[in-house]
Amino acid sequence: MIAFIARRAVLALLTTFVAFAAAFVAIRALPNNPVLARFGQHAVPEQVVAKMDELGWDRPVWRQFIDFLVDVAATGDLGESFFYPERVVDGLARTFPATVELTLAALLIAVPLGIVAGVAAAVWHNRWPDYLCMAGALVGVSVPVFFLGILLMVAFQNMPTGGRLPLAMSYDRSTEFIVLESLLRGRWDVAAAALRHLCLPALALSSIPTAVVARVARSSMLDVLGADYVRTARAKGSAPQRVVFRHALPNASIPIANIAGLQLGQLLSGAVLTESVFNWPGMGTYLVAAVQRSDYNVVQGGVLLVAIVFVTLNLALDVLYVLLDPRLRHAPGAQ
Amino acid sequence: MTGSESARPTVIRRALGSRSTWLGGACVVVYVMTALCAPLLAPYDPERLVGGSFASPSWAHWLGTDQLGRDLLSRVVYGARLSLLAGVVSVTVAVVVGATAGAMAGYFGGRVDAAIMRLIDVLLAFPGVLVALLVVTALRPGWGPVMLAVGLINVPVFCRQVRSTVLVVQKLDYVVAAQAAGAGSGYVLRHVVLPTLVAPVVVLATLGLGTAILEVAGLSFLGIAGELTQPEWGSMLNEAKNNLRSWGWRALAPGAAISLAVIGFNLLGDGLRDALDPQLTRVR
Amino acid sequence: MLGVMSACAPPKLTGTLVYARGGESDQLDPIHVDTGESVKVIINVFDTLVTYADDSTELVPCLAESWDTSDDGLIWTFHLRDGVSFHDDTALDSEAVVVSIERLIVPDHPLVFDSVIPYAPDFSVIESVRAVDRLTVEFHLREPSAVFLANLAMFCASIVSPTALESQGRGFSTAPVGTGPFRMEHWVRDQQLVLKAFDAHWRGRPQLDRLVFVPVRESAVRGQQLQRGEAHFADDLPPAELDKLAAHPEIEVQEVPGMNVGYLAMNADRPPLDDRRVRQAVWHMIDKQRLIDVAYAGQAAPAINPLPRTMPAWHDGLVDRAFDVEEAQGLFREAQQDLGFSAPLELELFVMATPRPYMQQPQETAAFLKESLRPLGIELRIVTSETTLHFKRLSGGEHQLALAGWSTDNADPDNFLYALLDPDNINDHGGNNVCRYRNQTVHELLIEAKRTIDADKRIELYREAQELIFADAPMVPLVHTKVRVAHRKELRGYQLHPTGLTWMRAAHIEDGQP
Repeated sequence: MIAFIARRAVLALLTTFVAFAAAFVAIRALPNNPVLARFGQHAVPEQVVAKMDELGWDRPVWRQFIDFLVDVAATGDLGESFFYPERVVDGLARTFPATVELTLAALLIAVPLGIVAGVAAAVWHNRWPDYLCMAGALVGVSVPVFFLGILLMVAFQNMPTGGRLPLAMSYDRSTEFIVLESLLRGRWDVAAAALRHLCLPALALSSIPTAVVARVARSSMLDVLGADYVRTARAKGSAPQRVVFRHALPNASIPIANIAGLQLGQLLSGAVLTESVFNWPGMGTYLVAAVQRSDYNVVQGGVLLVAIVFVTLNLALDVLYVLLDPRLRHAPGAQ
Repeated sequence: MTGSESARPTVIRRALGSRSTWLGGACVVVYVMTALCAPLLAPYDPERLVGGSFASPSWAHWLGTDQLGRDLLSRVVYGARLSLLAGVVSVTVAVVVGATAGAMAGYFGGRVDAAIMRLIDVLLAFPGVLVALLVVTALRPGWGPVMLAVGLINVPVFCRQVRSTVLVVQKLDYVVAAQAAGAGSGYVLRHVVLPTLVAPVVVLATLGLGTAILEVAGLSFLGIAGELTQPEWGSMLNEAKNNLRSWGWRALAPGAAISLAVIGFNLLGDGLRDALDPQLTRVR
Repeated sequence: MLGVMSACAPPKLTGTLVYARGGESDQLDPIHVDTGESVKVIINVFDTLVTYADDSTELVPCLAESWDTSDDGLIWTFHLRDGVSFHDDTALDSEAVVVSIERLIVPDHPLVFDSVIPYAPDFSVIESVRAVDRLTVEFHLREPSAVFLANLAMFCASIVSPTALESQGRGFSTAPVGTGPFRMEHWVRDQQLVLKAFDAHWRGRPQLDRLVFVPVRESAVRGQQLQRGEAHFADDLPPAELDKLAAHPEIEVQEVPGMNVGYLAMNADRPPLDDRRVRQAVWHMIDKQRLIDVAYAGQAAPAINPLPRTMPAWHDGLVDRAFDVEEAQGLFREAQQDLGFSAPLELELFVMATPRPYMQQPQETAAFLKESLRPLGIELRIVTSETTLHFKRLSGGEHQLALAGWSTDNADPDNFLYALLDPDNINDHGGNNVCRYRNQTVHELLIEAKRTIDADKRIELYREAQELIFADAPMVPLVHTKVRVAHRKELRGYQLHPTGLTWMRAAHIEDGQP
């Protein structure tokens, strides 16, 4: 077991490192020149050359990579954005919480709704709740999230459609987990405003995970309901609710938990479209803007964080899977 | 599942017996026909400036015109072409690259397998949009690079599916027998393994077309694809978003078009999956 | 006396102005920035020695009460206003001015923390600047310059607090300290940048309490927020959206003819665009009024020449080449016979990915041009690049045709004609002569005009240059756009300046907070 975890952890580290190196090389291969970009339409040739030299960006990429690693080892810092005076870690601390809150809100909608729909579909298999659930799930995965976003914006004209707080609201805070922090501090007004701003983006973002969770919940419930022990419980005269909630659902929960975990990873790194439609100051838009401007340090730092989050989540899921599933627990060399 | 002749009629009967195949198939046929017959269906050339700016719907322009005075209905109709082309090309890229890599990983195992699967892990660790953006920026914005990029981010799906199928197939008795009889790895791959891959790949490719259409539209919605003169649904939605007041309702047609196309491929893919193999392993 | 003042002057001093804009400021150290989003904040935090009059580009005293020039035009002496203080209570003196200007011209200045200084060349004419006494500063120029004074009114020549620079170092660029009407309060990047009224401003305390800049990337959302009263002020809205907003009873749209030009650049290094008949033919094919109607919602003026019409040096005698397909085809065929290029001619049109003030809808403009040139036998392939990459490619001469443009820096003709069309500015490190136009006579005229102080003589030189440029047609000037902003009607006292810059010192809100 421990050997298994250790092996997976080493692989996860390796994956993260390669992802980071790939980002480092790829961003430098883009035709854009960030130094020139700093000058807009007012470039000064001598200054451009001097700056390139100062930053070492005219050196070979492998050399820059080594320099960078040495730099990180010496300072423990990922550097600063090239376009504005902000450290990359500060930029991530500013934008990642926004994405986390959006993702969690979306999953808070998606998981319960998906489970309810999936269970209902399984219990009333091949009857109208089933058809409704399947149709809903189909639409959920098929409608583009940006189209859904536009529809929501048009439909709910008096809901906030951009940003995290009302434009004029200034709120002194120490983190960007606005909802969480204001709740902990008892600032109900801020929390309420922040939650209102969270509604539409979270709703739009939840469409795909809801559908996915519903599908998985349905199929694993169907599997379980067909299993011997459930039939036995039924035959012994257990009440239908009891069969579903005491016997079936707990056993169907492993695949559901797994798919929810995978969705978490997907959303944390891939909410770019939703963030763009709703002007959400999250990490997706932060990174896309950085790629477009070739802001080297920001892209590298962002990819590093995304890779760490993704890889860690997957590792955690694998381990959980093994721990939860009794069949896998004793199998040597599982997976 | 083994692809033997006798199994085929059952598969077809099963596929045709399912409502989702029919419905999805119908959507897909409409979509493909729209794309192929666009010049016959569209009342105008989608790039010509044929009317006034932002004209309301009328007999001459059923959906009105856009800002430059191009006929919106014609643009929605022609939009199917680029969308279909982009979907097909990017899925082809994903299938060719993904299936080759997956087959190699599964068949050779060991170091090859480890290396390929690590690369796939790395690819998955990047947000898809970011990968696409990097590829498109590096190659110069345009539809070609967009298709390539979308193909690339879909490689892992095919790679994993093919690998796991190959792993299963390899352990089957007749494969072991063929290898024991001295068949070379090329022969085994081509004549034994490949046929069994057709079914899962077809299913995944059908579903993948839906995903690819969504992703292409998403990229052009973000303005990454670049060229707006050619009619394309994602960029039409982008225009609608920029002029929400005068355009809000005009988002409906291209938005619905994308949704229907994707629904079609998803239904068809599900139907095929059920017909071809009820036990088909789903990989994430 | 005090009692009388407070009795008769109680305009509401309450109020927060919410300014919804399309992007975020990069940073706020005046010498390091080039983006409009940064300038919007900088001009409200800092003052310059001289500035523009409220309703024109005439230069008037600001931190300098008066100035005089030596006979040879090489020494300029500025007399500073007394009693001005910075937001950190440092008093404005000649040393502060010396530091502010030397940061632009002295290499490796100890109070400069970043080596990117985009506007440095505009100040290279200054040989030295020194403090004569507490309130007198003397500038020594290398040669007489007609644009020196105008450049001092630019945001990059803002006077900064030397004590704040010393104490904050790099931090100055996010917590700037000037003498302007507003001071920095706090800034959460991509969410909110808040300025607060500076009570001790030398013009008197501004009437707004707070000025909140909020980046809202979607223009439609900015419009929506304005309508709902969540924002008071919005800019960079698409023309059609603005027309709708103008009809709203609670919203006012202000406009000025912008000091800018949007044009179609034709790379003279890429045959057959080196032949001026081809370039003239392209010119004849473009129906500018139609372009303005469809891509600018009618809110722009057709351009004949790169200079904006509001500049005194603008040549009023030039008559635009008419939209005339036959004339164009004649010129084109003639050139074709002489040069023997094949038809249809395939050309690449480079287009920027994001709107610029002078090119509000680049994709639509490109689509329009593509349709316009087709009848001539020119097929355009549109190549879109992210904006900075677009200009990089242009200065490298990679394009054949390209959308380009320019907005004024200092309201001087030199800043258009020399910057955009002088051979000095052809280089692949950001040179702005992207038409790669080389005309020796024009070059000599432009250099002479740079050094000519006499206004009438200068205008004469520029008129002559404009005639030559018009005949050569190195570019097709397309439009001068209007600068338009929308604000709620309870925002009073705000006047959009002819330069398009948004000073907020005189604005106030009638009914308090929304």
